[in-house]
Amino acid sequence: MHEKIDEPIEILVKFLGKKVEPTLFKWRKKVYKVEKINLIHKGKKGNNMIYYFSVSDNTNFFRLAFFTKDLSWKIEEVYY
Amino acid sequence: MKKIILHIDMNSYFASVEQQANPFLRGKPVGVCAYLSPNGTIIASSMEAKKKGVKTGCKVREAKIICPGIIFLENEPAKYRSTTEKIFKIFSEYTELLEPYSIDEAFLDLTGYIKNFSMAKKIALEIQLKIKKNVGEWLRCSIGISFTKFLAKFAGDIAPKGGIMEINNINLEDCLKRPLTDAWGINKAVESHLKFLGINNLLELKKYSPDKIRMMLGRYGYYLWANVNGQEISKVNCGNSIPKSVGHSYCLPKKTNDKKYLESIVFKLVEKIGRRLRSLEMEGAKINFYMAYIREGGINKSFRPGYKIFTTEEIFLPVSEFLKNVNLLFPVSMIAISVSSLSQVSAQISLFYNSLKKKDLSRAMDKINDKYGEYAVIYGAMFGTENSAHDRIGFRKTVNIND
Repeated sequence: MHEKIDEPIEILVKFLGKKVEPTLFKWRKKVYKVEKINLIHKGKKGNNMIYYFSVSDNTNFFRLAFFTKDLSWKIEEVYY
Repeated sequence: MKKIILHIDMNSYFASVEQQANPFLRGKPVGVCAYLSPNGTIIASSMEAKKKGVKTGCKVREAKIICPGIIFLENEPAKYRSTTEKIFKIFSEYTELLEPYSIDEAFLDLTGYIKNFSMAKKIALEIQLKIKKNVGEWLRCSIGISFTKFLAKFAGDIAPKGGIMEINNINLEDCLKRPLTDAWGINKAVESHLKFLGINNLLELKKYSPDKIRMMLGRYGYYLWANVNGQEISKVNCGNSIPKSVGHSYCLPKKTNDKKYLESIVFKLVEKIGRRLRSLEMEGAKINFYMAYIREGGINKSFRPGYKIFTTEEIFLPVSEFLKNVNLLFPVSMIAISVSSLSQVSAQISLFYNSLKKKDLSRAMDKINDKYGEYAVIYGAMFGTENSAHDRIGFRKTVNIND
């Protein structure tokens, strides 16, 4: 089941050299552990650079978006 | 000195990128579509979908019948362009002579960087591993190695998926024992011309008399002969050349002869063209306009407005005037517009037409849209069309990954 969402999340990230890796996030009162980062891609809305992290745990796929303009995070997609 | 050219082609690219992003789609038939509606076209199908007969170009409703469990996804150009950027960055570690041929294909000229084909094979293998390690483990590519661009592409096309194929002087004739249409640049129409000359496969084309083929099919025929004979016709082009035209096309989700709707799509397309023209600091002299009917045929019209084309309005006015007066015989399925005869933009003031203010206004609007996002500020004629003519990726030839 594929669902498009647009909700803010709380997130813990690791900084590894030049890389940023989401590790844990809280969405709808539930905490999800990021088991794997499958793909990182970027997009732009005006001068707002957005980094998209396609991540998964053992049962779900999530797309998380990091907005560089206001340093906010959102969940945009879930597949379960 | 013989050249060493690599042709790299990503396999089932858009579908593989989707499967890379979402591992729960791996091993399943996936179709990446322009639209998810029944008439939407599949622009890339996964290996699993291909095995079940779902090919590129298949309609969504047809694919559902051929492969009932298929998963459809709407294409996401930004995702593919961003992934391509990472892949091409890997290629650029090996040579400066890199030609991005499309969003999922590139030529690399390794001449001077390595000595022979066996070193090229090592590099090809290394590239395949680097793509898997640094971009995504689900992404595969076929690599062709040879001494001309044509033969490298031909090798890449006949290589097994995810494999490496070398064409050299020894195996060239064996590789050419194939149908004519297996070669780059030979379609059904060219094939029928060649068959008329008694040429039934690529090897027969190689052995044919070059003078005779030039006499019968002109320069194009000679190029085909030279290609299969390993003679270099075109070099690896690094892509820094000035474009000959800037254009956009759009397959309409709603096939219609409603001129108001068509005009809104036209405006959206000309705005995209205008934005690209201005970002290249170029202006054009000719506008080419094409509308395809839902059935065969369409309307083709070229305009030379007599002034240099730079602003969106300057492209739109002649096209919209033509659209108003044209008699549409059938609903329209596709619109394509381009601006050609390009040159560097000048600040020359025309005696009869002062366009400098309009140029400045266009540049100012572009700056606002660059900062706040596309369509932050729009022309009145575009009002209400923000959701039409989305960014799309077509079947082939999408070279500018930064669009």
